[in-house]
Amino acid sequence: MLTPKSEYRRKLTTPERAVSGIKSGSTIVHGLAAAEPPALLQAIADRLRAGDLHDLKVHSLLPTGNVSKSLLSPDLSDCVQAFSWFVSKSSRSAVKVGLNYYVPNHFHQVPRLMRENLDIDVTVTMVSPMDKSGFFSFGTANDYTSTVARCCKRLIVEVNRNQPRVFGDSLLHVSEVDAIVEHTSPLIEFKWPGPRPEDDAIGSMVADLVPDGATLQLGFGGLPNVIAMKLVNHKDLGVHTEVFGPAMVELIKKGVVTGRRKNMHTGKHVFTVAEGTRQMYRFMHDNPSMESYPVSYTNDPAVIAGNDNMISINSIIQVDLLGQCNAESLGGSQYSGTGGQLDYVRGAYNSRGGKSILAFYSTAKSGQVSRVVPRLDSGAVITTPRMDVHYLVTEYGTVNLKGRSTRDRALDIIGIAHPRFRESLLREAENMYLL
Amino acid sequence: MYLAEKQTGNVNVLSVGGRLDAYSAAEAEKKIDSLIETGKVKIVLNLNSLEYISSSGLRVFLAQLKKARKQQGDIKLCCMKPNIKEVFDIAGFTQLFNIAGDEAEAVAGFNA
Repeated sequence: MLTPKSEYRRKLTTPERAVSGIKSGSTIVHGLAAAEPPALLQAIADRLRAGDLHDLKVHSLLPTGNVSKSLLSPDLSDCVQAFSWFVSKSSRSAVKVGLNYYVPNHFHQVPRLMRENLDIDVTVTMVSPMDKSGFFSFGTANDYTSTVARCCKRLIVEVNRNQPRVFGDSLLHVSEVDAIVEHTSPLIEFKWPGPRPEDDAIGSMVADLVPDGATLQLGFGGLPNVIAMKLVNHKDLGVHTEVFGPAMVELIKKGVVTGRRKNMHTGKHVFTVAEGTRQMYRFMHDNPSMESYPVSYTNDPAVIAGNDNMISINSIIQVDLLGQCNAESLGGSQYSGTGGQLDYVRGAYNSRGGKSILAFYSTAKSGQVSRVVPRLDSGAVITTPRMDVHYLVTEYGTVNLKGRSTRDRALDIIGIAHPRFRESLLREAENMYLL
Repeated sequence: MYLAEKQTGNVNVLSVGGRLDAYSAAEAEKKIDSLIETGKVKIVLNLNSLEYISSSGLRVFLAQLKKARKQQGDIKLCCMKPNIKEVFDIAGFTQLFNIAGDEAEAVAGFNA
């Protein structure tokens, strides 16, 4: 019988050999974000550039540096058909000109969508080193990666000593793997823009909506960081989130986030994907309080609702006077994605005492454009329908749209628009017979 | 879409006009392919009359560029309208092709 160590040695190979069996026309899915495996992706790209491979279908969600430098590089556009399940900076341009196709989805459904609708030939992902019992950890990327790892024809893992080992349902046994390569490189770090003047007011208003003992879903970026800083005097907060980011680490270290009052996974910080800094990855490593689960679990609205006082905090690009929110399209093009926004909007509202908060700046383009608009732009996508919108927060205030009439919600929304645009918005609301 | 071919010295100039999209990309591919197959690998694509290019058109240009370069040739582009140039910029294709302002410059590029 093979021991884990001997099985590991038997499957250990070079990136070039590991990808040598991939055939033209194959469908490939790779690990998400920080789990994009650079050596394997580069080895596949080398074959494409050598003319040895063509017509690959590559599925990404939030593609970042390692895949954009390799399989999604413009010079491979003729031999790769690329699909983005969430559009990132790396894929936005290609999506705009039809060289990369967005796949609409709710994040919690992605594991099922991929399992049932893609005939996946190869999954490549990065994992943490194997333990003595033969288990790797999916580390920063559980999401759909743990599902596609198990429904593909060939699973190739890239072992990286920097990939944190996390707990929860994040383990992968060596017997499940077809080939192993070792490659140590720094994980991709995610930077966010510096604070904006409006952040302070928005952060304070959001913090006011969060009771002690609440469980948080907080996105990644400048605003979530500011919101987190405003929560430092709260007590016994918990984390049940899609993206685990650096802001949460600070709250855990300060003892603000303890998870003690969570109904589910008490004392544990639950997430499905982690995007942050080297320090954050170190904090996560071998930390028994960090638990990751597939996104079909973390983002299932029914699971989200299982914690009392669940507070979800997300952002949007535009809201119209009906309360319809666009969080994913800009100028008629796909800018980001639905992601888990509606998963958490619905789950949080269904939690006892829960709230879903959509926070946004009242203007864009240095104050020249109002994000509160009479009607969404032509071609804009509704991410959160008006029936689902709960709290909206800008630097000018907070409104709760639940149970409000079309008249009341139009007035409420205008009330949190930038004052410079309120008169014209009121006029348009009248023209639309909302008032 | 329409194609018009002429020869300037040892360079083949192909004018591509109208819409280069999913419907017409195969025709453009066939034409460029036939040039390369017959050893005419110094090609200028004059895009002066090109009104629209889709991802299919971009992919054809890229695949043919690789074929031409494999045979020590090249495909140079010239006379792009601003909307076409914008698509090339967004796609990251301006870094892949040699792009000249006018046809004479593109042809001269082969003799430099």
